[in-house]
Amino acid sequence: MTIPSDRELIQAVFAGEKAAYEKLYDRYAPLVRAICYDTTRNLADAQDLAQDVFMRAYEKLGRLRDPDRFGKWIVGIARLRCREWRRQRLRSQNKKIGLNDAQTVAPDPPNDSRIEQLRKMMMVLPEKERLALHAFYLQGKSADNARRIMGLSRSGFYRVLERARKRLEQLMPGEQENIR
Amino acid sequence: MKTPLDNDLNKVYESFNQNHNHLRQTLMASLPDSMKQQKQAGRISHAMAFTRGTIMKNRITKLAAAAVIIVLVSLGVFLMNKSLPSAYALEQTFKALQSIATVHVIGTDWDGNRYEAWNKINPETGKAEWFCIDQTPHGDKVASTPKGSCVWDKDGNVVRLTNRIIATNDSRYAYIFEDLSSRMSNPSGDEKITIYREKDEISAKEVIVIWVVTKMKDYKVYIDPATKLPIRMHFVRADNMPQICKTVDHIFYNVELPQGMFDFEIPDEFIKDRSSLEDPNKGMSAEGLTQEEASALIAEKYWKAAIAGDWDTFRRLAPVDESWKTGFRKNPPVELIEVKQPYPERGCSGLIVPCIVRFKDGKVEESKAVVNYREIHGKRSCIIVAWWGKPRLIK
Repeated sequence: MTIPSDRELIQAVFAGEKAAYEKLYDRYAPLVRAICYDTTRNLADAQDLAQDVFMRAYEKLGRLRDPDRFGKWIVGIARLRCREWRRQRLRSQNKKIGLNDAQTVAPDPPNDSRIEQLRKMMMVLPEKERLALHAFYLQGKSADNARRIMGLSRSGFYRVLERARKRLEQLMPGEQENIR
Repeated sequence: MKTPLDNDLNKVYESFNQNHNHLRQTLMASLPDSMKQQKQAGRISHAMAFTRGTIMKNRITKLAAAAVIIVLVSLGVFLMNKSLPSAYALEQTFKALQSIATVHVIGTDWDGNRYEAWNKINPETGKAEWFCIDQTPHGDKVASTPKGSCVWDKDGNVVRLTNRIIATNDSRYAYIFEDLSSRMSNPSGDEKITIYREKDEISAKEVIVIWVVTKMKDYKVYIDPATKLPIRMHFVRADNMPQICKTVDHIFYNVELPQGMFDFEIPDEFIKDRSSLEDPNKGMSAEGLTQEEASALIAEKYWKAAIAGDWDTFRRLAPVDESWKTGFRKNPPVELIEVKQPYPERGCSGLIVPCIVRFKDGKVEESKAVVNYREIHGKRSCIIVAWWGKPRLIK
């Protein structure tokens, strides 16, 4: 059985087949959540934001010019929504000054300190490199899918991915010890 | 070849698949059924293309268009503020809520899990005095009435019965409105209520938003301008509150409640824990102590027992606390830094005792114990019945 392309799924959505959007959701929701998590640092809020992103994408699907580029398009919506979230957060924090100074964005409790450390290190990476990691690891490790989402050539994508991985290895000193 | 970094990255990314099916179902339920209002971009009208091409390609027309937009937006904001007196939405909403007998809500909790709650309102008091909440698949199922309550802890496989309504639970839908109402009539100055109109992102219709920011909470209630009834709620923040709900995504009014919803039928295989909080052998004697002294002392003893691993004392002081089974065994407390002054809190059945504790992993947290003071057979004692909200990370 062949896997339907984004274009086929979007055409099905326009033909009234709502279930096709579920497939698009399954394909891209983890990636969108990861992008939102970079902003919220909190899984629950990231899930909320991602839901919002998919809701907006559905409402604006008619504006998507090239259905083959749905992945890149929804990543753009996610980044825009994250910027809005940051602004809203800033506004609400400004209002809160004097009420509860201790309130900050609460990260999810770490389950495993090494994984948590890695997660923190990923936040240090430049956005492009982080996105390359998200796209690669959440798109079935397919460089082709990931490079399309990022709008890069195959070799260009590999360069960014490799740079991200190398930087992570440098930032995680224990990594080298484990390899040995 | 897979490197350890690959394995770790896989683990990092696993968390983004949490609750995926549930989130997908929630999203799909919220989407409109058809795409009939949308057109594909390829079929954009020639008039639109001409307008965009003409206006946006010329610097002067671009500036003129921007000026027109700014004027229109300013005018819109001005008119909106003029047309919406601040107390309007609240008064209308309270009035509309008076005609409500039952409410069924579906939402998500702070861990992203779905929950359902049903409320039955006492027509004489106007308060939701019967409520039932079911957190799926884990968490608690609670049925609470003025005569008694039943809490089924699904993870612990324990059913607890009490002879009172569980009043502190914010999942009681009307609690939020009772709270809102009292805040409006007796403003204390540490909260801000903003009312405005906006286009609802989900329904694409204009809604009235009541945005409440208090010292402990920050939440928005979305009101349907036609019915004046809330259609959605969203908590941005709820610090140190014993609160389940984060979002209320669907609200159904005056629904027929499922039969036997508030009956406490406990299957035989469950452990019944009827008496622990009323058991005179549990808790700590408070003879000769004031309520505040007793509350502070029991909280101190609780943490010292947890630090020493004295689980018998721990379970005697806080019989419904199950931290000793899992959490404290993995990451035990190592130092009690401070027990703060106990204080009462609106909606809480006892005194709250904030305690600052250092854990083995180096974290310092503030937890708030809820201590009930009681008199059984003429003897005064106190007992830790719950924790007020989630622990707050200090360091």
